[in-house]
Amino acid sequence: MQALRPKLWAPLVLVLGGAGAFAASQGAPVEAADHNDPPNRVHSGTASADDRPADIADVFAWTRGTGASQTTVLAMSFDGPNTHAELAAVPCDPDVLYQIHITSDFGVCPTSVFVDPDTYTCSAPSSGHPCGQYTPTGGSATDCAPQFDDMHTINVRFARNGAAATATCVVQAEFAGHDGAAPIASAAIAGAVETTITAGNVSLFAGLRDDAFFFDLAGFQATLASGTLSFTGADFFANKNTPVVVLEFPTSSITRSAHALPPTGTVFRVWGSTSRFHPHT
Amino acid sequence: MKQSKLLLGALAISTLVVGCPTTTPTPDGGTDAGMPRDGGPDTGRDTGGSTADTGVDTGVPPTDGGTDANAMTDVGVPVTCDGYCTQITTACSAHAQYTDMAACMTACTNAGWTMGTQSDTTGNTLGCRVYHAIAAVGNAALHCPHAGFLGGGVCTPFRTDAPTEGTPTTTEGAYVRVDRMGMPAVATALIGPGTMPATGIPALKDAYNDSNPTGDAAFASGVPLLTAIGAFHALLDDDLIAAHLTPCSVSRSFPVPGAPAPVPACGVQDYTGLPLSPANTHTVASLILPDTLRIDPTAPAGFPNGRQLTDDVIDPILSVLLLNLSPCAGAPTGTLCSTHTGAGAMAACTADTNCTWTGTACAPAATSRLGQCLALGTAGCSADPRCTVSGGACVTNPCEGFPAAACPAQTGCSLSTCGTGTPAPACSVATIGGLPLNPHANDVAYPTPNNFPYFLPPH
Repeated sequence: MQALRPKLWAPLVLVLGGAGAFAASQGAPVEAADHNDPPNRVHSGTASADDRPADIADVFAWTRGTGASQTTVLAMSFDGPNTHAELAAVPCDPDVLYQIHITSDFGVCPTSVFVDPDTYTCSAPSSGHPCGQYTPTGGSATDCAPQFDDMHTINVRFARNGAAATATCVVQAEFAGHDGAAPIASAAIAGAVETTITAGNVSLFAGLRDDAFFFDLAGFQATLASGTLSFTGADFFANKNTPVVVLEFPTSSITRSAHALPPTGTVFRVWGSTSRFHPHT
Repeated sequence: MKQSKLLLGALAISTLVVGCPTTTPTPDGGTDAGMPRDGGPDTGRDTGGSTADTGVDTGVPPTDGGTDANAMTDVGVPVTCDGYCTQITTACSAHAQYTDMAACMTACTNAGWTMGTQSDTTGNTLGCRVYHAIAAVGNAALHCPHAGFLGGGVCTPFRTDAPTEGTPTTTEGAYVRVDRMGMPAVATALIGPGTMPATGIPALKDAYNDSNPTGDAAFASGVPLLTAIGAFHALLDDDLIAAHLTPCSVSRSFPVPGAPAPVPACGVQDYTGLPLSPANTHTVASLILPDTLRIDPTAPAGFPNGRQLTDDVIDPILSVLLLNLSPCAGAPTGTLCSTHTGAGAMAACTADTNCTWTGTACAPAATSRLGQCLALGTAGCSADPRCTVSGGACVTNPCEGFPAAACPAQTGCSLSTCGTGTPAPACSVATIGGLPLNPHANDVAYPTPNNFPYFLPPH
């Protein structure tokens, strides 16, 4: 199946080396949101060597509603885009760990490029304060943290539930809270793919869906190739699919970790990762 | 990070494994004389009851209240779908795992679980499910989920390895990172394949994907990301100017907010559209790095406040990387090369795609707007409306690109020099998302509101 997948991205080479110089010798295919990246792991040109199930396509995160009834939706797509002929079902790879991470907004340090003086000001590192201090507007100085704080991780894994060809592909989401943050849900949630699985306040879905990303890839490629803006507005992702994992839960269940900075507030950040099981010998 | 990952692993292990076999059967007065009742040696981890298990199952049921006496008269349950379904239907009537016996038989047959043995306390086997279906007689609430289709985290089909990451050459974690993503297109378009000069990190793209966003500042302060942005500018700035948009400058890299920036440097522009000031730095840099989606639940949803399925993300990202978001106060490119002086001048000049290092000074690159005008010379200057003769040389027309309404207010500009031959766009065009390049709707009409799981069915 995957060997038949057309190398849709291959013609485009944009080199990002050397003060803007362009040369074809160190090509980095420029693609889309995160489809087919990093190329030497998931889109090398040798299909058998590519870890397609672990190739993140997109990460989405948004809130719905307001106040106490507000929910947060997190979604990660992978192994896409494909026509139905190229991929007709989720890969159901039991050896890939899909993780969605929720962090505090970010730690604050004077050396960071991410300082947000709207919220606080920072002082330089000094004796006893190796990372400096931050002072919230109207507040008192607090030692800075060197990084933003992990608050939650959602671990998603697939499996074929049984040895038979007819065995169902099932999906499981586990919820871990870090550094004092209560998990979003106390128990794992699992069920068959292509179904909405609900337990308590948490909903989970995994299955093959329309690739929601839309991008004039051909126009972008033509622009880079010619140096002239050549967008036509055509959506390269039209009529293509991608496996997705979707979760929805109350925003209020995103509790803050003990060292989240700023220590209060509701702003959070989301990112996704994939890893492959690697037995140690 | 490492500590939190380890903690995560510990949590996962405790969630998945602890509790079932070691608490089987539930305290039953110490008369546990045989779990499982399989007629054979008890190889299990029966620590919850009597220590008098001599290895021979006597068939005496646990005294768990007497509600299951009938079920316990059977000294063995066959490890077959029929045996399993009969047992779980009986023992789990109050904690049903299947709608009925027939549903269980269908599920069991279709699954084709590895048979295993009745002494399997864990693992995705039929034997494990039988074990727990028997144990459910003593504690249905605990064991029925384990005996069920999904195995309740015990007879589970899923990997139970701690979700921790290591490298292929260490024994640190069970998993090895493949990919990561936060903001769309950042890793794909801005992180190149080469070596990061500042640190010597090889295989930059892999290194980026192996790292976590906490370390993204290293990629921001390093050369590659700026080089990548510069490459886009070198390619597209002339088109942007022709479209009456003013490129932002990459010459100032991603400085700490508050640093002087005569021309809005791409990285320190304010993407909210508010005037840039030391007290207001919703900077492009903070939008892109760390490479995460930032969500303020109290603000309306929509990119860059998180990312919805229907949000156009390409135009906003290209806008913040390419455009001077305050076009009425902008300046043509190539004019700042002379500001690269003193220590680090060569590096700064080299990093600025509008400039070229002559060996002793920083001069406008031939590809920059200023370089192109200089090449025309005074005689040919009028051929390009983006150039004008000033001080005996053909230089960039500082008025070019200003919209007609704003043009006369610019010192030294008039409608004839602002390029009014083409209808001038309003200044508001150059805001985040101001580039009308990408299709502004998906090929599929996503209804609003949409219902879980929000993604539309496949094609």
